[in-house]
Amino acid sequence: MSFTQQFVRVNTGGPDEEGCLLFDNDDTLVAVLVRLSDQHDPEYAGKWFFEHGFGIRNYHGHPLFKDINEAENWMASRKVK
Amino acid sequence: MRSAAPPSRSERDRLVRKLESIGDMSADEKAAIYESPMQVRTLADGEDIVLEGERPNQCCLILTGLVCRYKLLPEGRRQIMSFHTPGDFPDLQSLHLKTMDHSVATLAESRLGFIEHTYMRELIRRFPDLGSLLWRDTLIDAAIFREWMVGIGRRSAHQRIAHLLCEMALRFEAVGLTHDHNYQFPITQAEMGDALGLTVVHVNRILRSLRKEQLVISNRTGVRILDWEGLKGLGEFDPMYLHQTKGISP
Repeated sequence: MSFTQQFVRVNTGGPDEEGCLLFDNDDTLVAVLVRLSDQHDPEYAGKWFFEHGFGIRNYHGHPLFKDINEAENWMASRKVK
Repeated sequence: MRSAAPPSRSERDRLVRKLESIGDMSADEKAAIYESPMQVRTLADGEDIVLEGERPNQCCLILTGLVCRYKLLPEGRRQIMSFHTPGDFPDLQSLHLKTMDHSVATLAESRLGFIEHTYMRELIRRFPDLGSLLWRDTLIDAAIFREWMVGIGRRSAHQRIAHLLCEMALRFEAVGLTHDHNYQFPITQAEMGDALGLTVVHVNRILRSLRKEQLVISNRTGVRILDWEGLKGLGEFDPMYLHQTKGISP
């Protein structure tokens, strides 16, 4: 499975503005990621926060990824076709 | 866990204040509380007091500090189900429900007074009205759980945090631990998230936004409510479920 990325600005009510939408092979939106700003603790800042996902199974909560590639691999393993 | 000095009068007074905030007490009942034998121990932040599955033979009265009830889920996820202030017995139910169906732990260094179940039973036999008051206290616990269920199921993340900070203000006020709309509530953002079903990222964003909106400043050193009516309005906070009888307002 491959994904298309679209970088967007997201209004989270604060400085976490840098966002990325992931689309699947069918050009369908499957995830909204936001890069955490330095208002968060160093262990979180700079990572990609999984805000919302669609059509994904076996997960709970909002995982964090060190980069978008890691998020895509995680998505590929859980995507419901 | 280490043994510590016996409880001071002001520490025992927290329980009396707590019970008097939800009902009336006679002079004899108060005297019996001041005389209750208890073994005092000091626990560090993050220590378990009693674990799910255990069968304690004593109840734990919080003298100082902060305590929570929680359950652990697979993969280490945790749900905190309640916070407890000085004056609370977070495991009073163990008097009648023999096996703990959840765990109880400190969220700050705490002094705890352990009172034998046999003594609690004798106290309730001697003072049936005190027994009724303790029963009332556990019913109010259940009312708080109902309110939290509404929050986790139906309120927005902003509302959940606003509601919690209002609730704790009135509960700390009942035991004389607020000052000018301020109180000590030394929980981490992760612990707040575990109580409200939110991630630490969301808690961080929302606390910043509540501060920016001049509603409340909350960090590990304490909570300072800047706009009580505004915070109450945001959280849809109606204190009726706390059943406090003394008309407390911070």
